[in-house]
Amino acid sequence: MRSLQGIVARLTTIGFICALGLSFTNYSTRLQISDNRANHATEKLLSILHADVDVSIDPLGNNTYQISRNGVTSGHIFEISTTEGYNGEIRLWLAVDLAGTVLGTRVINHQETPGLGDKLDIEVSNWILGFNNQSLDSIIWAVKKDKGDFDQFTGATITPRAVVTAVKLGLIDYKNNRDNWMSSYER
Amino acid sequence: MNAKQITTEGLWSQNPALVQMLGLCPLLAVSNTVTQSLVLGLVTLIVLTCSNLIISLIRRWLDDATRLPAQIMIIATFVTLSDLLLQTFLFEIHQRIGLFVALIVTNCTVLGRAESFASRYPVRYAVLDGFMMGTGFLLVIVCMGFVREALGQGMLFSQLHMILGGDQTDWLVILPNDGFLLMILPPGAFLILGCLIALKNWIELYVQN
Repeated sequence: MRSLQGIVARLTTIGFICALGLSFTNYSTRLQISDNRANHATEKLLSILHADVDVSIDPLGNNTYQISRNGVTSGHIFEISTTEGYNGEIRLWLAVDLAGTVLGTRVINHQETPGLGDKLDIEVSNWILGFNNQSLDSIIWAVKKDKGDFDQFTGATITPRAVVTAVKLGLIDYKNNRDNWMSSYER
Repeated sequence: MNAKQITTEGLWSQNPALVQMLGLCPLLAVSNTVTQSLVLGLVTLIVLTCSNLIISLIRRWLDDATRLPAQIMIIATFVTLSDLLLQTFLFEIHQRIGLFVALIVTNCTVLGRAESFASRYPVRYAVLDGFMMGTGFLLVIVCMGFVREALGQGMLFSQLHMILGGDQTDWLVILPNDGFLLMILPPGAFLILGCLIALKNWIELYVQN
């Protein structure tokens, strides 16, 4: 049996080497990874709007974008998130016109179960399009299991319930804050 | 211990998925498409080979008290490295299977081979063992991916463009059958795995007689 010092010394050495390798990799990949995240997000932004030539998107900072059509502000895109999903945080873009109608919404990042909860991803299913053209008063904001108007997924209710709630809260938030965003931009 | 024996054990007689039944969580959860299976299988293969290599290299330097924590640390390092590299080079597919890449660290095959093989045998055998066990796992998970994507979605290679580039239509193969939802869901995975295990046992019996 080795001495306590021997054990500690060996484990510390291994831990140190592992940490060194990880920090080096993290350091050399971090820019590319954050680039990938940003590109991924921007591509999704444009696809949300089916952007035609007249539409432009300008960042307002704080993950908020202003949508202009022919130079006139027509709505905003902002980030919403929820931790009520099955695993970790779900982050989404929500595009809303000035009247508070959903122009579109897309998942930015999620770690829901592949094959079950990941149907909120547009590449897996069209479920997320169900939010288009809805506003706070046009529909009951809950999944069918909770007597609302949104489909749940086969085998997964928690994920769609979380997303429906997050979008609803996003719309309420927008209704309350829209004027602040407009004025802060004009100033 | 010789190379031929290690190869047969990894691919067939001690196949991690079909005989040892280890690493079933990712096997069942990720295998709903060919591409996801392929990527997770490859990452597992690489982690298994690398961790076997390092653990065999330092096996004389460790004793009973330090072996397990050291092995787990090494495995976790390789898993985290692959996770970062996937995010760098295959971001799209990482969006799909990221959770299960991180979970490779808890795949019993990896720690099992480290403890029962790599910490006892010379480097060249340990590397071969990791590679063959990984290949055995890869073959089974890709096989399940094929069957589940074909039966469950009525198509094949629907995500292959995420790793090989190009458009989805360059790779997609549409099959004449409609999707059968059960096959994409976890029960489908259990059924297919059961069939594969039965098939393996049947072949063995058939060859014996």
